[in-house]
Amino acid sequence: MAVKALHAISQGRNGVGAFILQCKRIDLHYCDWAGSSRGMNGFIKSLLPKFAAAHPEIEFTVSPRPAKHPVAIGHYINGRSKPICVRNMEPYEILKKLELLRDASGEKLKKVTKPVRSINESVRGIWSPYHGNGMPL
Amino acid sequence: MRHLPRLRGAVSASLCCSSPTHIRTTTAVAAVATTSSSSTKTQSLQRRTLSTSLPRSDAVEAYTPPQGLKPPPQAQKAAVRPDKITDPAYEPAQDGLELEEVGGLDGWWENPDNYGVGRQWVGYGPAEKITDPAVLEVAVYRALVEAMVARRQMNTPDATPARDALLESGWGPAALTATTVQTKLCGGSHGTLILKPAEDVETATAAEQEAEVTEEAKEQLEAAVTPEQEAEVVEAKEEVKTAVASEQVAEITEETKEEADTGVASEQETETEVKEEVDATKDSADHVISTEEARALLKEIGHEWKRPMIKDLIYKYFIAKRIYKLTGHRIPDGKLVAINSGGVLLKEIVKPPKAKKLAEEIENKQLFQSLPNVKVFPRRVTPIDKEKMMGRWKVIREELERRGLPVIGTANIDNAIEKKWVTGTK
Repeated sequence: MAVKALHAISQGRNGVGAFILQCKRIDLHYCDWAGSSRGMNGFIKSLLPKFAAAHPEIEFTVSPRPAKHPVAIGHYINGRSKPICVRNMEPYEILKKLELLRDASGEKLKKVTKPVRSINESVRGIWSPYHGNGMPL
Repeated sequence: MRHLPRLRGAVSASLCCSSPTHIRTTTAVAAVATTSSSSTKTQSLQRRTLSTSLPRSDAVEAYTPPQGLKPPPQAQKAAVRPDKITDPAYEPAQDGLELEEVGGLDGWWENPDNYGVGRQWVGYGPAEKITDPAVLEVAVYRALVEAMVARRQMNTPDATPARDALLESGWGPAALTATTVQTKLCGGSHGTLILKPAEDVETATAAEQEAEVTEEAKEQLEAAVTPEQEAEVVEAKEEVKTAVASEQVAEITEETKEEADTGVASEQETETEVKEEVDATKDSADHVISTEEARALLKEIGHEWKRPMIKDLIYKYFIAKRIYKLTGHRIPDGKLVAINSGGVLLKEIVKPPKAKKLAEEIENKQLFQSLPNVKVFPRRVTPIDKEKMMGRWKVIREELERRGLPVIGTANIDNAIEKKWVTGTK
């Protein structure tokens, strides 16, 4: 009996059927003394409780890092991480950065040149000059 | 080239005062002298004042220097001319370094002996704020009662000295605090804070009852506000003045400089001693209650007074003044206007100490108590902490120890020597 290959019926695509957030953890570091952490300290006190409650799928860790600028580091399920320095930022600016970390995929940034990008095969196939009836000139 | 004629003598008459005789020379005037060469009396009057209005002579003359304050010595003192010196042992100095420094103001202002006892600054409130919540609550209650009594007596001219003494007084003896606390506060007919009327008087109207209670409280407080200790303080101050005056007389009769110096020193010592006595008497008069005493008093006070409204601005001002005097807490005007009850006032004053670190503040406020996805660390998360979280640190430690390597730090192992070779540094 000949071995038959399994046909690929469907390919896993995030967001089609189920969506898994790529960001799994966000680390927040601040300094108690430095003025560049003033916005970060305010963000942790005022905005983080609501943001963390709205995103139970993301793990948040808050820890001091004395004598350093404040930073927010996003960790992703592909193993990569994305750090953003938030020195001298206001709490709402930091909120925007956290939304950016949340929405990021964790992939390296790539230059997008084409307006549409797809992993679907074209239903028309690839054109070949050796196939088909050809066109009489 | 044409030569312009020089101006002679004083500047043109337009710069001078048109009627110089109107200016009184006895007053201290900031003046700019003209360029006149002669120094006659008439020309000395020709001064041009910087101010357009005439100086007030009464303001200058009315000023009398405060007692106990010594004026600074004159900055310059004319030395005796060498040809006038009759002392045969006198030898003129050949160098400036050999000269003795006479006079001058070096260190004069820093010397505390040049200032009298009465000139030393004393703050209105206590030097340190009271932070104990129980004591603060008793103080607030006492301030409410006393300020209300002061407010009720505001339009009575006879009560002005007693009212001022009441507002200016400190804690006083412990019995005074206990007496004041016995005066009860409650909500009136319009929901405002009033002194609680006596329950046994049924026939009297509410206003009359209030008046009676106010009168009683006033009598009690007047009796307590002027305790015997304050009389002692006044007596002690009188003694200071008498002692200083008698010593000054004794010094004048002796007429020798050395003895006078000794007398000044002894006078200062006496002043210091008596001042200490006065301070000691004051301290004993003002008894700030302890936490245990305050807790016992709070059981008597209850919570009935916290809810009723406080609307009267003058009453609020008296309250703020009393609270500042008793506790050292100054209520800003903006917050004072917003305070509308005893409870709000208490909340404004009794506050937990501010957290020094963000992690402490998060813990105190319990911001992430209900969020399982948030973890807060009180200190820096080190690489060892991360290994411990992963459960790998135990294995790493064992392996390092087995190899004889330092577990933490680099021990006596320096940086890589190859780094020096590459960078070329020594």
